[in-house]
Amino acid sequence: MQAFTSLTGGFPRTRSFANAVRRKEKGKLGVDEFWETVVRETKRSLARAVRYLDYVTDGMYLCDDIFNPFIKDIEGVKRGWLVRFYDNNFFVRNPIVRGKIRLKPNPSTVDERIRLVNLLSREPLFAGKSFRLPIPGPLTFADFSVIETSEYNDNTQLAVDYVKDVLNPLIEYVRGKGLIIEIHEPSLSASQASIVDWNEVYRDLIGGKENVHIIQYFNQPPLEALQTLSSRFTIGVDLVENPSLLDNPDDWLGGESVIQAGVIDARNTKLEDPQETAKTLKQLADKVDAIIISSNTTLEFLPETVAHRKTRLLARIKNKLAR
Amino acid sequence: MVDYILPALPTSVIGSYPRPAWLRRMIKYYRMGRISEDAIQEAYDDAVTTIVREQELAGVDIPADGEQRRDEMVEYFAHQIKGFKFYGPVRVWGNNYFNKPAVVDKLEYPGPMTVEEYLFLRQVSTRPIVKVTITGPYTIADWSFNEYYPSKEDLVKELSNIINQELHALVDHGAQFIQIDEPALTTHPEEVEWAVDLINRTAKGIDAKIGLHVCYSNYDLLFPYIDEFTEISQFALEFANRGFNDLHKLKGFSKELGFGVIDVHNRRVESPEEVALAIRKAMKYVEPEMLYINPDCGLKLQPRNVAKKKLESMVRGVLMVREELVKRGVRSIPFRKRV
Repeated sequence: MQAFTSLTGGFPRTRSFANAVRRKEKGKLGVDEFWETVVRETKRSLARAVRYLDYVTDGMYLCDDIFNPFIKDIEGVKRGWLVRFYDNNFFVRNPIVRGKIRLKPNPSTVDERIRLVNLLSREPLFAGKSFRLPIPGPLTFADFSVIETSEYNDNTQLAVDYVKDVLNPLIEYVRGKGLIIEIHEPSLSASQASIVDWNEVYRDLIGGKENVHIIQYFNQPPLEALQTLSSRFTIGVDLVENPSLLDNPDDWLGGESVIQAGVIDARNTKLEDPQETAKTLKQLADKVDAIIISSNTTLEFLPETVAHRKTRLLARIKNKLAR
Repeated sequence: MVDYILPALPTSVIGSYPRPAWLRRMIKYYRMGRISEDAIQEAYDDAVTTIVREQELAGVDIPADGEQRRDEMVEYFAHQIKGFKFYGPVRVWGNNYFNKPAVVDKLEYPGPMTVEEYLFLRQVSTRPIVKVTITGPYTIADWSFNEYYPSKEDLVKELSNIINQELHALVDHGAQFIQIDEPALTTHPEEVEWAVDLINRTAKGIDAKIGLHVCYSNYDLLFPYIDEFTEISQFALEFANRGFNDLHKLKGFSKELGFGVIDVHNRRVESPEEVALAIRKAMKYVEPEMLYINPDCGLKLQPRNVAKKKLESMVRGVLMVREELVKRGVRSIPFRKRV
């Protein structure tokens, strides 16, 4: 079994970067100066982490949360008010759907993130790394959306259109740019599945294991969904919150060759024991060809110093797993 | 036991209030090492004096000290209780950070944490009753990383003992109205049941009016438990933010209600007429004798002039309804420690 390490979602945004964003919003920082800060701060922070990672993201440095500013690139959607992100003391601005949704022809916020990835990938430390671009999943997007239009009667319709008219065009858009789409789908949970038909929503999603990674976290997902989706895409599961998934892996593994295992708790500062964690992961050794070791969710819930320590842990687990 | 008589619909605040610009500068200088400990303490005292006066001038019946000495509601206590550690800030939304503490050892009560605050507030206020606010055990636990205790329930239990000692210390020094702040209470529905028990344990044996402030929360989860809060006399709840849509849920409410009539996340100043209208709606479900009036939450995120105008408007709205209540023979209500 091969082992890789990955950053999932964002990396804690430094205070000095946040100050730069504030100054830019107040018109006290020009575009060029802002970008100098973006590159300097991202490099400074991520460079320390990237040596331990095989897959890396843009750190979501240009994002306030999983929805913002991405939803600015979607026609028919406006930025809403602050709502709690699941059971975390972290708040996101929800999407307000006011018309038929569609990815804009020139998705400027995605372009800015791609620009940052391109700048980073030229750095020697980032050479050879695979870049993932975190984006909200259809069920999560629908779950947080407030529908203020007659275009959609329910969340399933909205999620189906999100796949067809937002995600699929986006996957096409980044296909030639060497990026993997990292779909964040915490709402692929048992309770959510009763409201939204995940099977219908995901039926038309394009891409495959190479370029679409669907990451589920927090809630217990329906095993059937994991099995179905993992036969077509690379799936990430949260083994911190759902350790019982390891009891009977055959119940949810869909004959796939690669799986992402979220074994590092991104919501607690306590450091995991790499030996114990590697031992846990070995239960999957004869079930998959490769495993991507990661945190269960975005590291943005942690202070930066702890996020660095946890990233270093990923590499230690990988080494233990190789022995 | 009734010790004091208050005007009908007593007005109060939830707790925090914007710091004067000069205090913010002084704190900055203090952290840079440019001013002494004595100087910053003097600045805090001056700020509390000013803020309490500002509330009283607005007509508030039960002022608080505006939490001028506290940067953040959890951080303030975690800095004092032994067993916490700070690794650095985490983002809460956008570019807003919170210095989230981690529990790394057994927690120990350090001795009085808010008594000096209370004594100074008591000294500078002209009102017979003042309010002291203290962050509740559940919220401190929920907004911390737990590296030490086997479960969150164990952590909350420990914090409950610590906060109970603090409440005793406050009462020993004369505090009569203490508000426990628990904005996180309904965050994890599966934990509400034991959290209610532990909040009761926190307030057990305290000879003072104990209020509980729960905001931006799922009241459908909270309301079925109201009668089970045996040690809580008043619930200070946020209603303006939700457009007063949930008022019908107050039917049969058995405790005093601290009714939130001012949206603290919006700079628009509500008119007195709007405030009066909201109170009249609330009185369809809650008797005026059981009703206190306050903003939804702390006003600290508002510019100071807006916060002041919002309080003035709140009081003017209350005065309009008080005139109507006089016609019904309701002029005053007793200050009850227990309901």
